[in-house]
Amino acid sequence: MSDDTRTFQLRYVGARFEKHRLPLDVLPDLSAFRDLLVSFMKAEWKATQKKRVRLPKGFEKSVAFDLAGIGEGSAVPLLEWDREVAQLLLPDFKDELETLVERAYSKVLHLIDEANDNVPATGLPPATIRALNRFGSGLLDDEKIEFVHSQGKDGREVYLNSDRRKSLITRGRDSYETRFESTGKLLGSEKDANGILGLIKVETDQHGTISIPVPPERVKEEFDGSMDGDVQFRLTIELDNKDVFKRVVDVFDVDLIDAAMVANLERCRKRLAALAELAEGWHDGNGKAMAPAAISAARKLLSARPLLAELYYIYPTDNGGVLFEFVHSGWDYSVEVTPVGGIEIYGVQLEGSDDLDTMEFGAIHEDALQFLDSLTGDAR
Amino acid sequence: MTAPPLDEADEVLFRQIHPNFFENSHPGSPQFAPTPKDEGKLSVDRSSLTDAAGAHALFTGNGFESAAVYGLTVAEFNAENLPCYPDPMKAAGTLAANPAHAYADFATFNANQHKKIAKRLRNVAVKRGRLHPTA
Repeated sequence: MSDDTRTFQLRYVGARFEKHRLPLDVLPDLSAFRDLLVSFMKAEWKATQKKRVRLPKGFEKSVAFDLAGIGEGSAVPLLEWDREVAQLLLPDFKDELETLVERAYSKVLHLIDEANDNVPATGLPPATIRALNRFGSGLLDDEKIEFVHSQGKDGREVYLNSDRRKSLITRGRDSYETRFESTGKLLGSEKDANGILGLIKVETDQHGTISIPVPPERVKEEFDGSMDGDVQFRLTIELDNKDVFKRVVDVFDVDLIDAAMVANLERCRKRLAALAELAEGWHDGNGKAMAPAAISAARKLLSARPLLAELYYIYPTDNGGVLFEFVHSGWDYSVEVTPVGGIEIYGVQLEGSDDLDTMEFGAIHEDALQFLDSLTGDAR
Repeated sequence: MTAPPLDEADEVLFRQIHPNFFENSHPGSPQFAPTPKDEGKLSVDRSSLTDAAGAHALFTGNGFESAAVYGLTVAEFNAENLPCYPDPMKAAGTLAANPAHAYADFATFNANQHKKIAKRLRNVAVKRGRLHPTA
């Protein structure tokens, strides 16, 4: 990094971001972050420049960020603001611009840090709301974005998660946008506002019946005739401030999925839920309660390779872990999840004396999954 | 002094399966290896001295849980280099005596080896089928 750049680091935390991978569908966050910053810069400018109400020409363009790389650890996109470029566009505001960026960033951090405080419900400027509606909209419930090197009121790095987004956005309006990834049952198709058969109706556990836009040819070729089929989808949806569904904003994926696989996953999830309830001493006085990290890792394994669900027998282990046992291609394999979420894979040949020595992995990471794939084939 | 190992190769040794290790009528392999508290000894009951139903009744009567009884022969344990020893238990406190008690000795193997041996034992036992309750 040269002296002429200012780098902002956002750390994405969650299973999807492990091994510094950044899913493409969160990339819009980066421009949304820039827009959020600019919305505060504009407000700051207007507050300090009492005589000049209009922004100077080139103001917006001067705050251009480049994605300079992905940092180590979780996915940490490095966003660089090039001061040289900014000064070329706004030569008369050499120092002011830098001050504005820093002040705006401080205000962004402050805003997010106090998102869940009981502060008066003063609305945010529309531009800020628009940016917030995009920034972090792809976060799932157990994910967050940390602002590297920042410090919140609790002494830790400031972070944005779904709860904080909702709190912030619904201060200024009565709805917000969020990611919705789940499965549902296909109820049928319907016409959109233009009279085109471009919607499918899907019953969901979380939000009742929702209408998802789908290209008309897909409605005809894939979804019509599959009534009651299971549908898997990834959407951005708009909810009101009481979390009541309003509309689908964006569709990333929507597909019919194999009902048997869904049933197998459901069986395994229920089994894991039952194991999670085991009390200390469940094994005739011995047996530790299931460790949350083990249950969480076991769920990740299920989701990561759903086609294996039909093969699994799932058992607790006395030390608070979870054991998946299954037979595949003449081998009896075990995937043992340790109490801290580590993975051990081993096995024995069914008709023969060969065995597979225990392979250990720190977590359900790509390396563990690749090893599993090498034994079973791709079971995604 | 340890008694000599069991030498009737065809004698079936019964193993109780805890309900939490019995999913969809399939026993989990951990039930075929000793837990750390067992000090390398896998408890079984001798078919020359009791039957599967009797072993189950005594086990559950002593307050332990069992969803099913499976069995392996002495020879099948020996095939995994596991000698089996008689280990009759006297009544103690609220526990009734168990003259049929015996154990398979895992002492010469480490924990990772236990897991693989347990899988092979489980698979042999499943081939024989559930011995109690019978379908």
